[in-house]
Amino acid sequence: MDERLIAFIRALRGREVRVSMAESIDALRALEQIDVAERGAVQTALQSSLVKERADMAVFDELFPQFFGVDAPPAMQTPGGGLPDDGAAQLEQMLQELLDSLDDEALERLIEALMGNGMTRAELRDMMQQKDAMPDMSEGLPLSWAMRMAMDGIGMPIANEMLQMVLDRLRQMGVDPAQMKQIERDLRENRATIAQQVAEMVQAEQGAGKPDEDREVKRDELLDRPFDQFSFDDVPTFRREVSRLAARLRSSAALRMKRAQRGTPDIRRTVRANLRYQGIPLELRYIKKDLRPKLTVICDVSGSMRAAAAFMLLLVYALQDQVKRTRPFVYYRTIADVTKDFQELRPEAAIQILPDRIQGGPYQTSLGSCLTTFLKDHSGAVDRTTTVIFMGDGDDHRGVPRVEDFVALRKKAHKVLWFNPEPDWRWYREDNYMHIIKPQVDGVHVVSTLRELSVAIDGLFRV
Amino acid sequence: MFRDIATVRFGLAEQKYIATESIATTLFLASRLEKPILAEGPAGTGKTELAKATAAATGRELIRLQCYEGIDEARALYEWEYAKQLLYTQLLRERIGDMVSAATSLAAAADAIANEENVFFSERFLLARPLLRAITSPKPVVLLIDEIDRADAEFEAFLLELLSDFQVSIPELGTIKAVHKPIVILTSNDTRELSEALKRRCLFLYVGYPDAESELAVVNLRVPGVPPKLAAQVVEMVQRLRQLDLRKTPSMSETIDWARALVELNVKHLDRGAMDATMNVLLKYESDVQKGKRLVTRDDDAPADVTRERDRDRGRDRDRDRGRRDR
Repeated sequence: MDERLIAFIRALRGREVRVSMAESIDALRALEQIDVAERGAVQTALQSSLVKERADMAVFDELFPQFFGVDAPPAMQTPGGGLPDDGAAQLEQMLQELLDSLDDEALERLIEALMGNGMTRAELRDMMQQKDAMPDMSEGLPLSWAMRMAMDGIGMPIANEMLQMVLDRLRQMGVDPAQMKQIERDLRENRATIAQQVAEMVQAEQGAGKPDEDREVKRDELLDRPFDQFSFDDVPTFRREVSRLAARLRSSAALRMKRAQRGTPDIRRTVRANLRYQGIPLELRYIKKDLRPKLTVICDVSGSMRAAAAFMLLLVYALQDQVKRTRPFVYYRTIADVTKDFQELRPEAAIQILPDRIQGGPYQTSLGSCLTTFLKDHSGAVDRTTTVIFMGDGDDHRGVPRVEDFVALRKKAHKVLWFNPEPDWRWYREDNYMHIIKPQVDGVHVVSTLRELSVAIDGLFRV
Repeated sequence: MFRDIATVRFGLAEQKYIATESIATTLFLASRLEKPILAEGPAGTGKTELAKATAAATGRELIRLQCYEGIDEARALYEWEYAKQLLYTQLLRERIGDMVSAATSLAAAADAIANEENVFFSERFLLARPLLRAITSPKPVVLLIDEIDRADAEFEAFLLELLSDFQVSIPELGTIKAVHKPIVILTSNDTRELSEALKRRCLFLYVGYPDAESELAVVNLRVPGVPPKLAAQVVEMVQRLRQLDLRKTPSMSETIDWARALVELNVKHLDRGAMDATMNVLLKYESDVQKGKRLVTRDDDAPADVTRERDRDRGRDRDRDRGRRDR
């Protein structure tokens, strides 16, 4: 059980489920407390100790049966089952002679499996271990290669060759060609069933074989990968990386806020609080200022900007406890308030429906008219304490952004910032209006990667 | 304490709490492994009730800490009772005067007072808040840390020592270890992601909306006098409403409230009039109430088999949408 559990945990880690050493130990301890014959109890014990996020439950449910399922052999065909009695007896005799001539138990078992006596997962796992057939998945082998190596490792080509010799002898003995075809078909199907079992094991090993350092390297690489190399649909899968980044930002932000909050003593409240101590100032009171920023985030969700917008919103929402209020808007051809989506759904779910909020085809970004609409319809989202952040490339394919709108917005807001995922040398193409925007806002940050975005967001919490 | 998983189920059932296999197993493991449970799921699905039922089933006192934004250790763990300390110093003024009168210098007088300062920073002057009460209680208790997702990340970090070692550190007193390790249940409505450190210390339990069978069993158990037919209709309607894209999906507790309201109104059979009059007990937004009413209107206009088929389709659509979002 311990070995199986360790393999299971490796498979979970391979699928990006974070399982710590402490949680592995908890799982082992949990199994000691229950009747391991009760499959449901085993499943709950492992799930509650190993999986701490709902999103990971699907991976757990998928992998659990592979490691702890009812280990019955799969249904197999019976090659030669349709032969007349004498033919079947001859086939059996030939097979027996073949098996007797072998001194490799694993190969014997594989031939038996191909002839219809299927293997359980445990048997196949033992065979792969004995033959050292599991490829080293830490090398990043493609699955198809790894599969072929595993099949070669358990001796499938040799078993095939030997069975082919048996079939040739049957053919020479004059067995009906139609029946020979059926036998070959049954053998092929059995081979495919075994290949499927091997594939499941290789898949479970894939990723599990990746050492932790590889994942660390991958994380670092992720921080510096330009947003335009992410697919929008993949963004929610990087939620953990964003959370980790947010945790780092949160610590420094919280510390800065705390220091800034303990600035000025509040004389009136101090005197009042210490009246019960005959006026001796035992308890000091400070003027409490809520220094958390109020954010209005306006993101361009045109095709090229979606991934950057999604990361921006994920990061801002991961830092919600450090923000007084967030109002997210998305724009493209029109502008939409998506605050409700983020109130009702988890951020990773809310970002997935952002593109549905606005209709439009390629090259229809209308920054200018969206800004005008924002000022007209959503002016309540901005006041003197609000920091307005735009996340976009500054393109407008249907007009020119009005300087007056930016002036009006800057007048209303505490600060207006522009985050642009594109480098500044790309700001001078046709339909790009960064040259108009830049002088009208309080700051422009190039945020082409998660690392740059985190630095820019960290700046919001400097008090 | 619980002997096995069946005892947990039985114990909770006696407290009118229908526990699924995963709830019973997780609670059993939590009591055996002495680990906290982190119960996560939508509001109103019985997470807090689980703590109450556990306390009642084990005969332990329930100590509850309700979390909110800005909660700190003074509210959760302890506070020095300054007023009491001051009162004692006033009352003991003469005694303190006697003590320092023999001192020949200021330093000697200060030393004499310092030698006695433990008197003023002792448990006598400590105002125990829920967490401290839970670990210093002479009897084993159940500690409910409710809606931990409302608290700040700093407070989460502060809880780590308690959750892993069942001890707290008070600078003036040192480390206080639990007299009896409590059963700890943390609940979260999943409004924000909790830290990995906190999750690592807990057994995770997801408590979602119940299926129709479990919900019916709960309604029958928790609403005395509910006619069987009415209970079945209530549950069927709630299950169907959960398939709609509502602003706030009705929870288990709202189903119970609705059934109770209908019983109070002496409703024997759920018809359109009764639904119109009471739907606001179940649905909390006007837009949701309107959607619910439209569902009922469509039912009145369509044959029963068409209605069922439509609901199934709607359920499939919604599951697909959820699946897409979860991905």
